[in-house]
Parts: sequence; C-alpha cells; structure tokens
Amino acid sequence: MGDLEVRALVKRFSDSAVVGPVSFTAADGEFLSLLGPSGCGKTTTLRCIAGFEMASAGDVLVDGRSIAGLPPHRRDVGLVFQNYALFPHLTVGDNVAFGLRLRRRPAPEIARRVHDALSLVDLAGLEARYPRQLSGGQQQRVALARCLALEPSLLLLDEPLSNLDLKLRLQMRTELKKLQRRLGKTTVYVTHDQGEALALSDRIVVMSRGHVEQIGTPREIYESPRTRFVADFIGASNLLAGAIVSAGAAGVIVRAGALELRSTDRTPAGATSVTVLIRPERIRLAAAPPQGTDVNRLAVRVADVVYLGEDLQVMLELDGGPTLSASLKATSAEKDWTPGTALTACIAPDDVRLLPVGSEAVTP
Amino acid sequence: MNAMNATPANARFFGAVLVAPGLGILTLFLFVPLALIVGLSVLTYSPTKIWLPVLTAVNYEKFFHPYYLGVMWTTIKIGLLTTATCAVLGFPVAYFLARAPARWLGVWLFLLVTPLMVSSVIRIFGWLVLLGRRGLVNATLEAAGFGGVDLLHNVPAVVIGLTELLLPFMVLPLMAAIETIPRSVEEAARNLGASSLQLFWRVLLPLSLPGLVSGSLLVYTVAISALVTPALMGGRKVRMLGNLVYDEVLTSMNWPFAASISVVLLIVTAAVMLGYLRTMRGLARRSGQA
Amino acid sequence: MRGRALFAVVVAIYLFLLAPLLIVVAVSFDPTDAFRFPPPGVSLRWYAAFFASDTFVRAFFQVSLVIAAAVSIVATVIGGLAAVGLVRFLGRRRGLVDTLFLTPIVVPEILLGAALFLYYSRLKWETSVAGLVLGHLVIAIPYVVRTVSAGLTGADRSLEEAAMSLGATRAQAFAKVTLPLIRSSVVSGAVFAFIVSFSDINIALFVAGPQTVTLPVHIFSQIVWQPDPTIAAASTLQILLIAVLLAVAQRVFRLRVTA
Repeated sequence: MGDLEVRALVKRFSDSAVVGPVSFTAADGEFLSLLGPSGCGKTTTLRCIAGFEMASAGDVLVDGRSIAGLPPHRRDVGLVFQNYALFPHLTVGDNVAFGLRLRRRPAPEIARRVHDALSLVDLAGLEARYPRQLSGGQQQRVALARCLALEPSLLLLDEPLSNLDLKLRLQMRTELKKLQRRLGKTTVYVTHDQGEALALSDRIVVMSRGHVEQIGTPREIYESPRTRFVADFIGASNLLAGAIVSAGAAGVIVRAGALELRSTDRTPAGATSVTVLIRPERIRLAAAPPQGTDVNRLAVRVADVVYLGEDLQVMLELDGGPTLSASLKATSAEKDWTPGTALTACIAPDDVRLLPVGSEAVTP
Repeated sequence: MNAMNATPANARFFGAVLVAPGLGILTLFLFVPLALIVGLSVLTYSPTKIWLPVLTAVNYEKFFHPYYLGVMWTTIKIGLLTTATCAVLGFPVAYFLARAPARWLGVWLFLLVTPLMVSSVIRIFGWLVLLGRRGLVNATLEAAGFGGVDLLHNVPAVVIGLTELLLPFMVLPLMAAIETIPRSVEEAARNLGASSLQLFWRVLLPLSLPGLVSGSLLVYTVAISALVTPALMGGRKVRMLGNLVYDEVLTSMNWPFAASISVVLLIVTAAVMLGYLRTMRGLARRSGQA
Repeated sequence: MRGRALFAVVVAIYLFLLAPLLIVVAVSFDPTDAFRFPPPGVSLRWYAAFFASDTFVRAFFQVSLVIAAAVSIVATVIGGLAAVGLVRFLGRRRGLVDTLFLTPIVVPEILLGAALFLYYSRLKWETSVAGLVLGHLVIAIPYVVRTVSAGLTGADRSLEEAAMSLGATRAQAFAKVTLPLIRSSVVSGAVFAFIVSFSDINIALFVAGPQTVTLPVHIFSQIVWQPDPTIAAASTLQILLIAVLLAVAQRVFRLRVTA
C-alpha cells in the first residue's frame, strides 16, 4: 500500500552543489530515517519526495508508480514541517479539516475524521482553539493530525522534534513511535540527531555531503559502519590510521602506531591502509591481565578520567602509540583510578573494525 | 546644549522647540486653510464679492440637485472600480515581489516606484497618445480600414488611467503583508491538496487581508479626489468631484460652493479612514495580534 | 509551471504600468508629429523645440527645479529637526504629533490646493514662488519626518553612549556618530521632498500664477491647448531626472521604499 522507492535521485543547484544520486526503498509500514549533518541533502531529498523540489534526474515511485512528475498538491504524501506551518487564521479543527474540505467530503464525515485524527494525537476536544493558543508540542501534534486526517500512503517528517526542548523531545519520540506502529504507515523521517534515528527507525539512511554513506538497521549502522564518516557520526569512536600486516583465514593483523591488533573483520577490497575503529565501550580495562589467548591485550596508562555521572570516560596512553578513549559504567573501584595508573586494556578481535581510508564504502 | 542631558520636562520642552517649525508650517498652511474652507462652505455666495458673511446651508443643499448627485455617484463609482481593478492586478504583482529573491527585488521595486514619482500629467499624456483621437490605436484602426473610435471620454478610460497611476499604492502594502506569511504555510496547504486557486482563496487572501485593506484605502482616497485624470481622459462627459472643485474655484468663482464640495470630499475620506481603522482593529483582534 | 505563468502575468502588468512612460519617451524621438509607435525614425527635433521654447525652459529650470530644490532643502531641515524632536525628546507624547505630521498625506491634494488658493486670496497675497514653496512644504515635510524618524529609531543609541564615555558631549556624540549613521535616511527624505515638489500638479494648478508656472502645469496646459511632441520631450526629461535621482538614491544610499 505504501511502498516507496527513491531511484538515483539527483538534484543540481545553481551554485553547482549537487545532491545525489540517492537511492533507497521503504517497505510498506517501515520507519525509515534520513540521518546526517546539516547540508548533507536529507531535507532536499525529502522535499523531492514531497514535490517542493524538482529532481534534476532520477525518479520517485510509490507502489511502483512514478510520482516525480506530479505537482505537490497531487501527491498522496503527508508532510509535517519543522515549524509546523499551521494556518494561523484557522482553528485547530479547521486546520485538520483543511485537506478534507478541499476534497469536498461531506460535513459529517469531515467532523468524524477530524475527531479521529485529533484523538490519535491525544488532542481531542481542542478543535475550537487557535494555533497561537497552543504549546509547541501541541502544535506539532496538530500538524501531524492534519496530515493523518487525509490517510496518505506515505508520511514525511522534516525534523519535527528539533524545536522542542529535551524532555518533550524524548517524550514525543516515544509517542511518535507508538503511533507509527499502531497506524502502520510508511514513514520517512529526517533528522540530524543520531539518538532519535537509532531509537525510532527500522532502517537508517546515513547521508553526508549530498550522497548516501550507508543504509542499514540501527544495529548495523552502529556496530558495522562501512565508512569512516558513519563511524564518526554515529556514537563515539576511536579512529586510528592502520596498515595491514597480514590477512588470512585466522583473521587480519593490522598495525596502528605502536599497536598490533587482531581483527575478524574483512579488509576493504585490496586495501593496504585502513582506518581502524574501536568503540570506547568495547575496551575492557582491568588492573591485572586476564587469561585467554585470542583477545588483543594492551598495556596502557591512565591519562585522564572524566566523570559523567552514569559513565566514566577514561583516556588511555600507550607507549609510543595512539591515545584511546574508553567508556565504562562507573563503579567504586574505577572511580579511584588516577592519572598514571597502569592497566591492561582488552579488545576482542570482533570489536576491531576495519574501514576504508577516505569515503568509499566497503563492497559487501 | 545642556538641554540634551536634561530632565524629562526639559527634554519635552526641547522636543517641542524642534517640532515647532514643522508644526507651525502645517498649522499656518494646512490646518488654518482647511478650517477656512469649512467656514466658507456655510457662507453665502455673491457674484460681486464672492462671499458674504451670511450663514446658509444653500451650498450643501445644492448637492441634492441631480447633476451634482450624478457627479458624486460617478466619483464613488470610479473610486470603487479603480480600487477593485488595482486589487485584482495588484495581488499577483505583490505576491511575486514578496517571494522574489533579494537580488532582483531592487530592480522590480525601482520599476514600480519610478512611475509613481513622475508627474501624473506625463503618464496621462502617454495614455492620450495611445488612446486619443489622433493616437496610436486609432491610427492603427484607420490604417486597417476601420473608422476611428473615441476611446476616451468615458468611465473605463478614467478607470484605466487611475489604475495605472495608483497600482503601486496597492502593491506596496500588499507585498508587505504577504511577506509575513511563511512559505512553509503555503507549502503545507499545497501538501494537503490545495491547487493554486484554493491556496489563494483559503490561505493567501485571508492572511494578507490587512495589506489589502491598507492598499484599498490608499487607492480609494486618492482616486475619489482625482482631478487631472478625469479632466484629460474623461473630458466633459466624465466629471468627478475634483473637476467640480477646480471649476468652481477658478472659473465660476463660487468659492462657498467649492468649499462645500471640498468638505464633502473631506468627510468621505475621513469616513473611509475611520472604517479602515475599525476594520484593522477587528482583523487584529481576530488573529490575536491586538 | 505556475511560476512561469505568474511571471508572465506580472510582466504583462508591469508593461501596463510602464506603457504610458515608454510611449512618451518613444514619441519624443519621433521625427514627425503624428504620434506613431514605434516611431519611424529617431530625431531630436522636439528636444531642440523644447530648448527653443522660452516657456518650457523657464518652467523646467527656473521654476520647477528651483522650487523643488528650495523645498528639498527647507523640508529636510525642518523635517529633520522635527524627527529628532519626535524620536529623541518627545517620548510618550509622540503619538499626537506623529499623527499631525501624517495629516497632509491623508488630505486629498486638490483640497490642499484649493484651500491654499482661497487662503492666499483671503490674505490678499499675490501668486509667488514663496506661496508655492510653502504649499509644497506641507506635503514634503511628512516624507522627511517619516524617513528620518525611521532612521533615528533604527540608529543604535549605544554608539552615542560609547562616544560619550570617550569624552564627547551629548551634542558632539550626536553630530559625529548618529548624524553620519542616519545620513541615508536624511538624503532619501531630501530626494523624496524634491521629487514630490517637482512632480506636483494638484497644488500647483491652484496656486501657480503667471510667474510660477511649473513644468507639470505647463505640460497640462499644452496638452489642452497645443499638443505636440515637445510635450513628450519635456516629459522624457522629467522622467530622466526623476529616474536618475531615484537610482542614485537607491544605489548610493540604499534607499528602501516602504509604503
């Protein structure tokens, strides 16, 4: 009912900036996020789907039919704007009824659908208020109800939570997810907040500088980033310049500075130089070296300890080697580590990821 | 210049001093003359002495003569037609300018404002050249074998002349009003299925109403007091209150009557302004900006 | 799609707006006096006729130009002072005075003209340059007050205060810091005052006498009594003057036109 395919979409701007080619699909009922820093092209892509930008090349298909040639008012997509864009001269009820009135639905049907839409977002009963009388969170829900009343095939949201304060944002996030699950509507969600994308999405499209870096589930994106950008943008990372020493059935040996590490990851095709990724929370620290042979063991010294309440961030120094950042849950013993304390850092080979240098993605 | 560091009372005095020359000129050469006119309008006309210090209502009673009522009606009719035409033509231009990229806006505004600053006689001369008996349109018609046609000396001609003259007065306030409508509101309407016409009628028009009212006020009040345009483009057949005033003052020398016509014009203008202020306050209250 | 349609409509309306002016300019170069468009050739004979005509030359240079310049200067001074008084000194009492200064814009111009004519007759004043200048001042001063007030309101008071903290008196700070800042408002007010005076027809029709026939008045009477393309030449010269003034003001002083 609501399959979306974006096929090799390109948008060229007059100042020679280019977005694309961008390709991805969203299955019926899927929650797909476009995630990236500002300027990466995610909003442009969304606006191309909605019809407010004309694509220079490529196509947008809904349920197999191309909509790229249709003007915005004839596409069956609902768009929730970042600043809500509610009609200031209409009541909440009239705002939500706007699209239905345009389609000349009979009055009783309109009243029912408006009521239903507002109930979905927990705002039933506020039909007579004006937008200016509502809080930011309420306005955003009206904007959502306004789209939902038309029961579109596709729902597009352009950073809808960015104007809300933190507590509200987290609360709305949960409600949004529940609502989407309940309605089963295919949703494309644009955000620059990785936490949001990870929490809400079935799949994430990570974008940077006009092109797609990686598409995958939140888990794939976090645990198996395929480019340096994705590794850097999502979650914290230790990124080291590395050189392949040997690659074989037992794994890859890679040298980074004075370190030699074993990894079970594949080397990027034919590369001899790689970027090594180690997530801070995957570094296990102990005062005494544990047993076991296949774990990477490093002798480190504490350079600094940063207390973050729930977590402890420990900066580690190695002789002649790079500095690493480790993250762990604070318990009483670790809180007392002072700079200079000698520790052993253990990193499982599975947690040593190899990424291409530069921005090419790994071929699967 | 220690007054500038002074207490509020001193400051107000100094302010009064600065404002005095300007207010003085306005008082002596605007308020007093206007007051005189109001006074003159109730005095009796005399062919020999022009006016006599005898109070009378004759000058206002004259208005109920069919001829003068006809002139009033023509004036109001032309005012309304001009305002409506300016609104219809002005909206697309105002919308275009409100959404125009800053780079080009200067050029478009310049082209809009320059005709405004040029004397109305010159623009009317241009229309005469185009529409006159010996003008371009007639020359083309006659060259094609049709007879000449009198395109002037009728109400549409005067409305065309006034519309061309006053269009910028409608465009500028309307443009300012449309600029306050966020583009995302327009896009939201389109996303919900509105065609261009529906977008205009349901969103743009209601939200730009203050600008429309403002522009209409400007156009209407200037249109009803027109003199040069109806004189040159309307001729004997289309006479407006302005023409009456001119004739009575300079030709017939019936100054009391001229004064009463002026007072009527003033009252109509003031009434329209009051209606405007009331409407604006009502609009502001409705959209919660009061 | 609709963007292009809108553009076409707007261009058509602009052509309507500019049509009379374009025709006037074109006709002024027409070698014949048959008012044809496009003109069969280019000739300057009407410009020669303009400069050969005592009445036209006098009207343009000795009457309109002089009066407009005088009005511009006097209106700028008086209006400027009034604006300073309004913005800096009157504080909350401003409202009434503000409205008073707006009245001339609200009153129809022909009423001003008629009222002045009757007023001067009552005072037994002969038609004179001064009478016309005073009439124009009435409509020009509000423009100056408005633009200079806007400029003053926008000027940052803290700059003046910074100057004072460096040792300037209030007056010096105003003169050396604020005045240069509002230069563009003052100049744009002066330009508007000039243009309003030069282009005025409604007041001049009533108040001008044989010695003070302004260019617009002369054009008016020529249209009625003796229409020939010399009028077009005179008009084109006025259009040129006004367009140049506006362009210079817009470029050099970033003139922003507001309603």
